[in-house]
Amino acid sequence: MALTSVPFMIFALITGIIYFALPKKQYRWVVLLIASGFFYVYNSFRYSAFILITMITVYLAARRMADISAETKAEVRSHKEDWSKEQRKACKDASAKRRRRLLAATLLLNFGILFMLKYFNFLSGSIASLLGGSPDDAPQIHLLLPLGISFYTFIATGYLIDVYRDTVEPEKNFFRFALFVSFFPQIIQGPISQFGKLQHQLIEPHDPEWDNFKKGIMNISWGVFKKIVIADRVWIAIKAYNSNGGIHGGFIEGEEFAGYGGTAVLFIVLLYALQLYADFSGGIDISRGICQVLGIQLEANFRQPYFSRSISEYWRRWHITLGAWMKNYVFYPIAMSDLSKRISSGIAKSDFGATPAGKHLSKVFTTAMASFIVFMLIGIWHGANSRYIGFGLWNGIIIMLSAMLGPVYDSTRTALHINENAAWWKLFQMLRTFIIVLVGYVFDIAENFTNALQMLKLTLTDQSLSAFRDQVSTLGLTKQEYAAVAFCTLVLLYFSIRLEKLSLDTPADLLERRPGLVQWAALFLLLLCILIVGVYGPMSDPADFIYMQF
Amino acid sequence: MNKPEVNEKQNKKPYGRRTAAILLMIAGLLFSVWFMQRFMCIPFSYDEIRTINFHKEPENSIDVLLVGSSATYSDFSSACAYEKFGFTSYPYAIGGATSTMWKPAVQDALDTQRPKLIVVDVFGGAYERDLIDTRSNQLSIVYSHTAFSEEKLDSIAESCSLVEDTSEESFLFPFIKYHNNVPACIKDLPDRLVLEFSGPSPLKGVNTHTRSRWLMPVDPASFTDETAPLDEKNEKIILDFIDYCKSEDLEVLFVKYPMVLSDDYPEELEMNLRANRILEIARENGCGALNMQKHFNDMHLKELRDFYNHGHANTRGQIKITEFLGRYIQDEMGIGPSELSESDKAAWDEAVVWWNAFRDMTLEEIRDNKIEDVGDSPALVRRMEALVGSSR
Repeated sequence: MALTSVPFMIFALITGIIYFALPKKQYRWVVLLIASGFFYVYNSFRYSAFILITMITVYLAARRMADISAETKAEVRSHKEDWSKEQRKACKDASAKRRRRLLAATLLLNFGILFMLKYFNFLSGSIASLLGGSPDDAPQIHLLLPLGISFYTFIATGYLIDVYRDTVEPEKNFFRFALFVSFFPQIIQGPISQFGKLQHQLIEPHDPEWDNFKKGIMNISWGVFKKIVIADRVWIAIKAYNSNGGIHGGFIEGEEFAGYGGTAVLFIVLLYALQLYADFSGGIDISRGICQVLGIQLEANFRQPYFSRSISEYWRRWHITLGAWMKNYVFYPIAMSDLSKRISSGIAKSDFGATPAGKHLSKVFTTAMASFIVFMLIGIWHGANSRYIGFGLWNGIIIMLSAMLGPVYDSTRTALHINENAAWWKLFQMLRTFIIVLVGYVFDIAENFTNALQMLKLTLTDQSLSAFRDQVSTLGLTKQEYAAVAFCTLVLLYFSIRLEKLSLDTPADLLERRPGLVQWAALFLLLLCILIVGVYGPMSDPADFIYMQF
Repeated sequence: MNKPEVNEKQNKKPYGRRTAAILLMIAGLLFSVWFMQRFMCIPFSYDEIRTINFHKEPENSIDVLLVGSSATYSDFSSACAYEKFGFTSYPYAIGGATSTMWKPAVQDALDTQRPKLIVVDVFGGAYERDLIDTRSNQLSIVYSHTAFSEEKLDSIAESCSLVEDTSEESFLFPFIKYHNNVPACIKDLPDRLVLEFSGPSPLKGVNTHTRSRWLMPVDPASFTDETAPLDEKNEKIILDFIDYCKSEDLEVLFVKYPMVLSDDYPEELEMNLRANRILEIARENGCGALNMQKHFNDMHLKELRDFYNHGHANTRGQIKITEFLGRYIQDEMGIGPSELSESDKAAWDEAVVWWNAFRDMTLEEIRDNKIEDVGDSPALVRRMEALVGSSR
């Protein structure tokens, strides 16, 4: 039941009607729980046990942590008179140790499940290859990925770490916690919500509100437009590129095909950038729109990422909630760890640390390393394949170098008298960042790491417009379809520029400033566009949401 | 006490307006979809126009219904047949139609007509299995003009069981399948609307190419009655069609239109044998069967003059084939001149005038080597109006 399918829309509509129609408002969250449970079991019945394990273990661990804290506090309080400061500290340390062990065990279990299901086959095959054997002979787990496993594992473990850090109160009611983990609009592809921001919204009863309804419907429509008008149409070309053998070629309708040249590869990478953004952000818009209708505000996951002026800014605008999760639960613990501090002070105290470069490096080395690790993890999070590792490696190296070479950039800019606020400079930075992002996407499209490097080489060495003209016709799109994609991309670009300029979140916010008639007309045209240009119906083959597989 | 009442009234006002706006927008979307589905979904081809025009024919005014694929309309002229033999006919035919289209077309036709004879082009039934399994556009054209009924739903369900990659929803609501055609159909919208509001066409679904081309002489071996086996599924479809016609008390004549078959077209030579098998099935089941390929020379057909390609006759060939088939229908199937109301007779007489003008125009174009694909359409109607000197 994809987010853009008619059954899902009907399901969401029925859920909304029952939710608002329930007379006992305090139980409205139960409607969401039942709907989420139904949605999960309907879509991933065979693998429902995995999400249950996560819910139960994380819930129990969080409860136990709270109990340990409470017991410790009670014990310290009861011995307030007879315990020394050292004894109180020892008691608290013991408590913290127990909590840490519990946290570690629960994280190990849940990430262990994720690892086994997602990465075991890859790792097992890789080890077999390293040992000279065939990856096919390596032991394999023949299971599909449970729906949304990466997302719900991160959501649940994030909550547990928050409880461990005492930043949130643990949820007492298991069913309420189950709703937080399995909430149906976000289970497929996020966003990765934080307990403190979402849980109270899920439990609070909401009444139907016109503004929420209007904005929600607009966001849903905008998301559907991005997904089935742009992303699914562009996917036809990307699919054709792959099925025609990519750069190596193959056979097209029985005729030999030599493979795509550098210009076609560049074109495909651009189309992929468009597809990935339209697909993922479109799905998020639909999820957020549904929640908005229900009166729940999900966190934003995108903020015009292709307008970023640096790669680190890009990652603050793209898949924002994953970035925030990584920052909170991976980056800071690494950057602030004793080891990092020791490395920093080690550099600072060395002879090299006395030089300007050494001083700078001592400041940024640990954060750069932490960033590198974060991006390696983000790459691995996307999937078990060397190309994803390549993707993480590329982003990690760029961010690490950006941090380390910061003063070099600054001095070069100063020497060249470049005005940082000049429009052309901003545009150049955007273009530069976009190219860096595109290089990362090559790893995403390619079959593997080696293929990605070959593709990159072709884009640099084999540019030919005449070859491109011949090859573009083999990508499965007609001239009219290219024109439709171009027009819809311009619409997308226009709204992105306006949102960026006015610092707004969604096109619904933008339209809100216009007269009612304009809003209705815009929605009408958008829906008409979806109906006419959308990829749906029996002859179409729309793509699954890309991030569903992650 | 008054204040809350005022607030209540103020609150109610936008709710009313909002509800009205939502309903208006839903109505607008539904109307747009209905409009596009009706006028801008299925490409405005000669096949589509011919089907639309069939539904404009006055009730029970067609005595001979011809169904099948392209040879039906390229080789036979209804107006010419009326002029020579006096019976009314119409080619309810769609290019590339396979045997899966026959039954739905006849079912649809019976909604408004009670033909005395159904003439079926067997060549479309002799297509390869993969084409029978996959050709659905022809069915879409038929269903998009078939009136909604329980029989239509059953027919759609049956077609979906025979043809791959189809769905009942898309036959019922072609917009689901063909919505992407809408932008390309915008240019044809004016003519589509003209057609919607005009009466029956005096061109009676005629369609040809104004050319003759160099073709290898017809291979006399193609005049055979020898057969090749049909695919089991296809044979079942044909037998089911015959059963259906019998259940509706319809007389059926299966015909094989003449083609310039030679070694240049080995696939068609093979199809020719399968088409013979269909004629054999027809005879075995008490239906009429006519192998016109055998009468190629009897019709005085000339490969270099009478065909615009090896499978389709031009106007010269069309006249010869219509005369031959018309005579067969008259003499062997016993179809005499149609009994028509005065207005219907006047319309058919007008069709004869138009046919004569069309014939002269296309023959001249063939002579002048002015190659053109001409078929019954609002554009051709406008041209013919200028030629005939009448305004419709």
